[in-house]
Amino acid sequence: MTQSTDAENKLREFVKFSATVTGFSEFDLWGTGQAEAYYETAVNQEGQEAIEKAMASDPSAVPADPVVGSIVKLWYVGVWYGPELAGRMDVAAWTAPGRSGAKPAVPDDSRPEGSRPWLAASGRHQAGEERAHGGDGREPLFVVSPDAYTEGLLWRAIGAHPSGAKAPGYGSWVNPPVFED
Amino acid sequence: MSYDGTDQVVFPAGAATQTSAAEAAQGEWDAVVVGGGMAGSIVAEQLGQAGYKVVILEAGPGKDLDLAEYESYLSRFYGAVVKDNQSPYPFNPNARMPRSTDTMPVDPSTPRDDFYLVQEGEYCTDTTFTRVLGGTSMHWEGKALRMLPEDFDLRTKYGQGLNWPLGYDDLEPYYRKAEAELGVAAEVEDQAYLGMHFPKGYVFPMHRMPLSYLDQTVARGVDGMRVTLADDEYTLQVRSFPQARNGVPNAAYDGGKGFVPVGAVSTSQAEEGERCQGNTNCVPLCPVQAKYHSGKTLAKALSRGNVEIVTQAVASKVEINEHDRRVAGITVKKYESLDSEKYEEYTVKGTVYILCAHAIENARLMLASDMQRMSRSKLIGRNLMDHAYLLTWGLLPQPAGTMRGTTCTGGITDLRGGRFRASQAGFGVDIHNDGWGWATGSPYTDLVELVDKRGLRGRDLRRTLGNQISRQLLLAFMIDLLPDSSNTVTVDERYKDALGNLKPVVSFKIPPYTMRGAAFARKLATDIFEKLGAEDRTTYDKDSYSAVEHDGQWYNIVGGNHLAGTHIMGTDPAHSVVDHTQHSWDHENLYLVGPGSLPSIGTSNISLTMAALAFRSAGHIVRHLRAAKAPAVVRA
Repeated sequence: MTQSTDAENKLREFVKFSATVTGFSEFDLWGTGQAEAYYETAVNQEGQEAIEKAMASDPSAVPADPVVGSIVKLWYVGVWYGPELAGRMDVAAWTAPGRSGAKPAVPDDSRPEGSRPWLAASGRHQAGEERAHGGDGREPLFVVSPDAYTEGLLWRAIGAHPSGAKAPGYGSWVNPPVFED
Repeated sequence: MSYDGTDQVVFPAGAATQTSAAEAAQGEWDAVVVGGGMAGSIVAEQLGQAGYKVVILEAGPGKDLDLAEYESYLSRFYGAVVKDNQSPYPFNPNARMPRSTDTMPVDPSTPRDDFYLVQEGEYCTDTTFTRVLGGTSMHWEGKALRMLPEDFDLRTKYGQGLNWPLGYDDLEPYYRKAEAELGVAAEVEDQAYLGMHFPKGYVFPMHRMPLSYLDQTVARGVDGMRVTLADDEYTLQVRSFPQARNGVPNAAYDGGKGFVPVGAVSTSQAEEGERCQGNTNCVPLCPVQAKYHSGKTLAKALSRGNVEIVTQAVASKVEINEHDRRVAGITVKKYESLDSEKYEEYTVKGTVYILCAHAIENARLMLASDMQRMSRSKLIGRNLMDHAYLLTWGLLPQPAGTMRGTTCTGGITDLRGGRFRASQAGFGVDIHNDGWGWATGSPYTDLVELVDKRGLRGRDLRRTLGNQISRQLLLAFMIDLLPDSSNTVTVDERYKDALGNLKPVVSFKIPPYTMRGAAFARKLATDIFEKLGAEDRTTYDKDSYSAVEHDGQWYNIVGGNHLAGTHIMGTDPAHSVVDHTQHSWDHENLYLVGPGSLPSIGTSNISLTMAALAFRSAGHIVRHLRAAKAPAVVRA
């Protein structure tokens, strides 16, 4: 057996923890090919210490450590929602795949009073082509990569496929849904 | 034909960039077409086939339609943090498009780059159109319904709206042409309702898209449901929608010759674009090109040699000869790149000019060219229409497989027509296979709610998501909106884009006739949810830009991206902008081809009708050119 490096151990710990909070097996998580990118994202955004603290936190605590929520959502949809965006339904709606029409058609009022709509910026940024930067240099919201989107676990959880990828084939929609779990 | 049974369309490599604006300006063209979308591509292809030299002026980026470029759209969509319905397409400051991210009231002090559509009123529509090669057909959903026979004489029949200068029977052969070009999948037996008729023996090119499990679930409750409206009784039924997307070809098509679906467009043979695979992503982009986009028509046109295209050329002025009011040329601003505002101006000249830039851009261009001054009807930019969408959503008692299929396979169309239209708008009902996404931002909002608000983790989270999202039912009511001369596109010197072109100023309100239909729709949704045992979860937000009050109730009416009516057709120059051939009443060598010509939109998505009209007009333009180019008869 080869010697594991410290970095590899940390990554394994992260995936092990992620399996508990996402409800998917470690095998599933490694299978997305996103483990390293997600671990790197979380550490870059929140710092090593905050991630370790989140991983050691009591999952049933109320309120839970918001960083845990960020990690869960990262695995489910490939989007990094910084902990300051926890519970922001408006942000969630804008980041969901476009589908039928312009959206959100019926905005939610969860944006805290006085907080800046994060898309209140012009041109490329408004169109989502540039990342938003928080005041402290962090980036509170981004898609980790195009692959992170298509590898989201959410779609497997709902017996579907990512909108615009991994299509199940002509006529597959005729039959009742099948849930893996 | 390729191994997968599709007809491959090869886009000539380099065609998007090989004709420079300078060369185009020196050329002698039979026809100058503004816009390479559905209408422009059909007209160009037809004129090219008839032997005429055509140049298309396209505002969008100068990229060939090939798989690599198409994949870049898809990759941009996957990676975009804001996944609105324009997210696959590059941000282009020089030919911007409206986006739901910039739907808001603006004034002249709002930073120029914050928005494209100028809306100053309280109600703002989030409607969009797309400015890339292929136009809005890249983004459209692909529903391809015909208009009802009664839609063509609504004024005579019900005292509402306007009559068309032509009827269903005049357009019927062109509907068939459009159904062939777009590759429509449907069955006549499903579509022969409310007076829609087809020649004996006609079959659609492909068989109907199968109804989703969700549609079937709704049908179990809805089929046979009775509704009384204006003293008439209607029986409801879930029906499949005709769709311009590749399915199973009907062997009986064209007297038994069958139909070969058109596959993906690329600069080389591409084994893609076969049958719809169920990507549930028709809007904003079909990943496999199973859905028709006008690149399929454009590639044919460009391959034949008579048609050329100049890209990154934004039409900025229609030059008019003051003496005889003929169009003397189209001036374009040819920009260098998407990252630079540098441009050069050229004027391109031809025998006839055909504006195919979509309802808002056609009007904007003409108004920016000061053409209202010469319009006898003064109706350029007036009668702007779009379907008014009312969304209603509920939670079904059992998982119904939501989030699978094409965006929409079935719906209820029995209330599209009838005598009730004398007092309230008709509507079609879409059953959305993509769940509550449009209304609420599901499934991401469900995720955030369960993770952050309810603190769910692990298997509990996974199971709850599956159970909750698979039960979502969204009924979208697509409601008729009549021509109203106070719904307008105008221009205003205070609003200009990066190239100095005037931006479109849109003033749009939802009329009471439409809202009476919306109020009825809301009640009908409640009844349908009850029949299905679904929990009604619909809420409306009166603080939103889409809020409309009617009879003391607030609703949200959202845009349908079915923009029409800014240069309506009619029988006389005092009350319409074009005649039944889409020929301008005021400029002898000008045609305005596109949804702007529709005098009403009924309850059918506009593209198929627009395509049918484009085929019909192309025939008239050929006759016009033949006459214009005939040797003059010299009398002694």
